[in-house]
Amino acid sequence: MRILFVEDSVRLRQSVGAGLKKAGHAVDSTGDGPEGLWYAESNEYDVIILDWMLPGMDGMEILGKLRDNGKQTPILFLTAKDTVDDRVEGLQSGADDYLVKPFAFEELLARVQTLARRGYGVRTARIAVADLVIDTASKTAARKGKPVDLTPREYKLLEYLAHRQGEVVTRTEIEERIYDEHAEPMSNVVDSTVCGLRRKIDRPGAASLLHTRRGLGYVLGEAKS
Amino acid sequence: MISIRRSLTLWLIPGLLAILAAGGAGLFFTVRSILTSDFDASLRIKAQALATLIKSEDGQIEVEFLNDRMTAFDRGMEPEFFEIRSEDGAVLGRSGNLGSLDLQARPGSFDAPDFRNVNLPDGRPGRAAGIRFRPVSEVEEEGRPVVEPAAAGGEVTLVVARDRTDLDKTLAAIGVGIGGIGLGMIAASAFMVGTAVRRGLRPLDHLSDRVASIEASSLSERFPADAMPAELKPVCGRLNDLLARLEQSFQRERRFSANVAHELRTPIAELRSMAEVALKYPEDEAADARTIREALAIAIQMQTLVETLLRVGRCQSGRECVRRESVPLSKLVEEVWRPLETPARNKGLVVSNELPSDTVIDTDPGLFRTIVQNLLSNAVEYAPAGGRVGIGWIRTNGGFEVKVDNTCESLTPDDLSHLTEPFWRKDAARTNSSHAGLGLTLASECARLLSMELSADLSTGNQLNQLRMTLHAGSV
Repeated sequence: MRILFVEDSVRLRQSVGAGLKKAGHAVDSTGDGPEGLWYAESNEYDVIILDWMLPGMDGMEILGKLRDNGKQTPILFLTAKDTVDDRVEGLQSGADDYLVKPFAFEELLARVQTLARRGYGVRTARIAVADLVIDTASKTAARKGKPVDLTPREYKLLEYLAHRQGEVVTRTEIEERIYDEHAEPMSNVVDSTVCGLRRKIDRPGAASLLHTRRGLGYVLGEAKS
Repeated sequence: MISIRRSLTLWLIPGLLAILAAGGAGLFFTVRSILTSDFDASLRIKAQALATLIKSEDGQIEVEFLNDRMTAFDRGMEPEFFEIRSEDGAVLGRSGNLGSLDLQARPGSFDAPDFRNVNLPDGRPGRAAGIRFRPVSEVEEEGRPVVEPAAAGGEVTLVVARDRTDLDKTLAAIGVGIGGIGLGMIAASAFMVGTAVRRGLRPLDHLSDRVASIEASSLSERFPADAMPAELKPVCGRLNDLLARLEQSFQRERRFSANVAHELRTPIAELRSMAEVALKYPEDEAADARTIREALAIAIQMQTLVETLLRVGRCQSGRECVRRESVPLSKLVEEVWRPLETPARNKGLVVSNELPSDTVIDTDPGLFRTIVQNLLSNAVEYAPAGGRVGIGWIRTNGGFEVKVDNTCESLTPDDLSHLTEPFWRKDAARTNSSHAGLGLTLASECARLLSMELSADLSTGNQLNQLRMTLHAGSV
């Protein structure tokens, strides 16, 4: 998943950002309000984690501008403002979730994953594509009950394709989702990741699930006859 | 419960009632007096006219009744009655319609009869006029009759009476009329009083409703003093002042709660996240060491925050001890300045020190050091690069002032009243976590303990403003 983390505390940005990356997500982070808005408007994120009190432009203003511009990215407010009025204001202004500092990192992780699932219209942590089951909570996959051993990048790609199963996903979309701003995606890395993933999930004797649409992109799903 | 409405009503209605009743009674008695006077005047004239018919001749009293003057005594409608008695009480003449009734009267003079109410023969109410006089006598002088008071024969008493039924009916009608009008006026007055009181108190009712509707969330509302009656304008003005103070107080409270939440929650969140991520995703020893160093820095920062908070609390509750001694001012400031020298130099600040070298002040060295430390560290922290920081001292009437000023970029005159508020910082995002916004609060509380006062002034310049913090002390 690709996450934007806007938080002015350097320590929090570093520790939470590192934790999210280690959990397999691509993370862009900034401590500045205007820069956070620019990131959110310029890129497609699965979830935006937004602090309320930010220098230059506070989180509420960023949220308002994004919603006014039609941006539906799920947004989680991460803030020290803890009163009921603050929570109500944040949620009624368009945030999808609200977490008060200090917080458990596991809880932040779970809420972020739930928001991302909701963004794809998925209500459970398990996504099934034919006999391939992806567990987004444990970051594992199994086909016909047999576990599939995936690298972190392969899993990220599989999860994204599974969320969009049946849809053609372009190479650009894959690059945006799998890589954060600091990575240097090269076209053959996407191809090699796709190749590696196909080798592991499309085993001999099993129906092929990962298809290439030449000139368009890739699609995960059962082949249509 | 005291009620203005009830009080006004209970005073006004009985008051009006009493006034109307007194007025009505006065009117009635006045009219009665006039009518009775007219009646009595007519009776007096009658008696005086009859008296001219009574003459004395050769010591004998003779009554010359002329028919045309006697008709009133014979008629059936409103008859009149008379009785004449001699000095010894013998009846000399009476009207036939008196029957056996005597007209009792204490006679007055000829010109001022005695009037009294009497019962007439058929039981009707009457009024009698009694006069006592000496009858005239008619003698001939030189062949002409001459009337002169009788030399002999004594005085006679003449009482004339008349039926006063019509007079009484008239008075009764007037009484009923006045009473009826009076009752109507009382009812109308009661209605008018109620209406006037209700209308008069309506602005008060509106004000009362507005006051009752004020809540913590509506403290920004103000009462429209200009639209209020003159009597309520001062009340509205005071209420608006009170609301303004309450609103400021609530805002200060909200700011304080939000700022405290941020200052306490953020470092704890940092500590927790760092620890949880390090435990969930262990790395190498170097990474662990970095995490532990950061955790230590956060702990020290929180320790400073807690100690400052506790000290502010002690100052506010008067538990901080004050021990005065002679303190060389210049030496103390030099010691405080020493750790700030490097940060000031790194920012390229221009520093001026105008303290006289030989000034000694009588104060608590610990508390005074805290004040100067916070003023100078704030000045260095918030002066922009290349800006100016200065410290000076002047003697005043009976005391002295220490001034610390610095150039600043972002402060406005509206900020000055917040400078010593706990946790207040100009940067609402509170990004720089090294300053919690308690320094000037602590300095202000320490100043108060030392019977000093800390004030702030902002002078605006072309590009940069200058903030001056002045410590006013009463004695050297």
